[in-house]
Amino acid sequence: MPEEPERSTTGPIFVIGSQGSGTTLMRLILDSHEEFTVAQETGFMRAALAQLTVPFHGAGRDWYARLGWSEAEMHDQLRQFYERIFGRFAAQQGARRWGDKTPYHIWHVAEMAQIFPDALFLCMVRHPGGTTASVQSRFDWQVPHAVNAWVRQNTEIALRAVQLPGRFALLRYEDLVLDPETSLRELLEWMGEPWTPRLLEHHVVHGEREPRRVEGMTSATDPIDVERIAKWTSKLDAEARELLRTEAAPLARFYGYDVDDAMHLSSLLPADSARRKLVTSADIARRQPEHTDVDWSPRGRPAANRRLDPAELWLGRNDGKKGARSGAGRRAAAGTPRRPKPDKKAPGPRVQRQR
Amino acid sequence: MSVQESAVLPGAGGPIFVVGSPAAGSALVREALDRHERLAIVADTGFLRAAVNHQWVPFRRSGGWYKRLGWSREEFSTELRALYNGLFERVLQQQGKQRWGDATPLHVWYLDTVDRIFPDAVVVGVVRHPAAVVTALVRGGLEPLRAVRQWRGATLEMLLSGSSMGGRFLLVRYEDLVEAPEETLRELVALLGEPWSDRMLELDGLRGVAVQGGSLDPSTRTTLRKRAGRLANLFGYDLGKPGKHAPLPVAGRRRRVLTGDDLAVRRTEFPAVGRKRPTPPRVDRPLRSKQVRPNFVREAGGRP
Repeated sequence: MPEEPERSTTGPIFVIGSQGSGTTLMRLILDSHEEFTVAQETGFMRAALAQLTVPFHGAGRDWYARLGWSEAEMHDQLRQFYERIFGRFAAQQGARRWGDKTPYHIWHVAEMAQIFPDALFLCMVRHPGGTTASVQSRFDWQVPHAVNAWVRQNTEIALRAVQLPGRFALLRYEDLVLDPETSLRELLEWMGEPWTPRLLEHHVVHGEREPRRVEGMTSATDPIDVERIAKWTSKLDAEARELLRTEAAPLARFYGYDVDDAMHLSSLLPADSARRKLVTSADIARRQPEHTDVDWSPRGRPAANRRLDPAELWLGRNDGKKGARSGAGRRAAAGTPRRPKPDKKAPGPRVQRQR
Repeated sequence: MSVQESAVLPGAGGPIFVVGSPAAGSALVREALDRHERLAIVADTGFLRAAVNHQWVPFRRSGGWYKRLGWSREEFSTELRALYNGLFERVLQQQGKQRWGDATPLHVWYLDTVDRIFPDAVVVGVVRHPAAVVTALVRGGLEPLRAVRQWRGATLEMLLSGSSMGGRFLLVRYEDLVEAPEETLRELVALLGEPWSDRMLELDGLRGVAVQGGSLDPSTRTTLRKRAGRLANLFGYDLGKPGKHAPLPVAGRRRRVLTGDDLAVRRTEFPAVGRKRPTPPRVDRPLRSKQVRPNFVREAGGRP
């Protein structure tokens, strides 16, 4: 296996991955380390792109060049700006190193790597069935949209990973949940950070903090739950599972999954690897040529994650007809009205919630 | 207030923002100011739109991400000021000048942002006879109704924001600049707290330019009168007489350049103007995911 370059032990840590793939769990775990603080879903890279190309302004591309700045210099200015913003936050938390967890930053890895040359990227990957069921139940995504997003995003992850040797690592949600200590010890070693048992007690650490309910309707005080690995099998119907087979099977195999079996998990690492769970960019680079049935052509990034250049994009009203990404969007697409809120004052039978 | 007295104003020394309706002459004002030995005014960066997108990340459901990191809005604005001051500082270094500015017409929708990020800034608003502006915009390919809306929206917004900015807002009419460049520019630089510079008059665009009245078809003229007649009158324009404009009442010995205070007084004579604030263009509002979304130009149908 090729040697990986030396990593920075001071740069930021960016947690990325498809929505519903365990990025929040990873954020909460890392955030419970004494030395780190990982901010939740700032999404700041879209704002950073807006500094590089003023949105929907004909003369807005490279406006800074007219002030005499090169792109590299502008990146450095932005790095300093964000270092101040996140750095103070980290200092207030008593942390030495900062990070951010925003799933859609998958689409910004190239720019982030340029702006933060010492940053590390940690990507979470999860079985497409688990991811689909998660975003379906939590965000009202429709299954075709969720499966398509999984394929696009996880293709992008593999393509970006190989471009960042030494700076990109990947953990599967299932590996993390089934063997958290091994997974996290390997991660900490890769990051050049000392081990702390607090990582295995993230739910206790966050129980002492506020708020306990965090992004994606996740409870910060829930311990790791192994049962979540196969929960999706009871949530997805036959049509959804067929869609997984036709759309996601080759890429799922690349990541060691079987779309029909939630518990099948083949190793992504060579037999002689010292690591058992943590996958690096070198591992991904080695696996890619072996999976010729995967369509490795780069997927175009979603419009919202591009530079908002008016030559390429125009701004329209959101009528909710595309994707059905939210309850409002889904209702608008289906033409159904919002469900009326229950009248709390009206008398009625009390139903005990089933657990 | 005399020209000499007015040289000491709140905000003197801060950045200068030249704003106005498209085709109102902000480029000419920029060029004149940029010729000044101390001033470097960059054209059409649009960076305040980027600044607002820094505060509300595009296509998110909620804004203020920095608040979750413990920053107040004021503190974050201070950081943005440091960032942009640093970027524009390079222009000053390269040109050996002392005070930076920006001339982007669309910044007319960001005067509250100017206030928040650059409390020491001075805004120079440029206004021009609507018939001339609409004629120019229609020639550029805009539909007449949209052209009228653009003039009315930008000019009204400038009036409403500018009239509450006191001495930090200065209004220049394009016609005054073209007819009496020296008098107008002398008043302007004095109000900016800067010494006079003869170089400002060396601009070709200021030599022997006749004020264009515009040539509109009767239907557009009617639309203009209906939608923007009183607003035009407030600025001394008569829609029946393109190319003509009455002098505006200004305080002290000035004759050409109005301050925000002058505009506030002028507004009292036109109580029907500006009762309702104009709605900014979609792109100049925070890009909330619930309201807007980006579309590919190449997609079927393209831009409507």
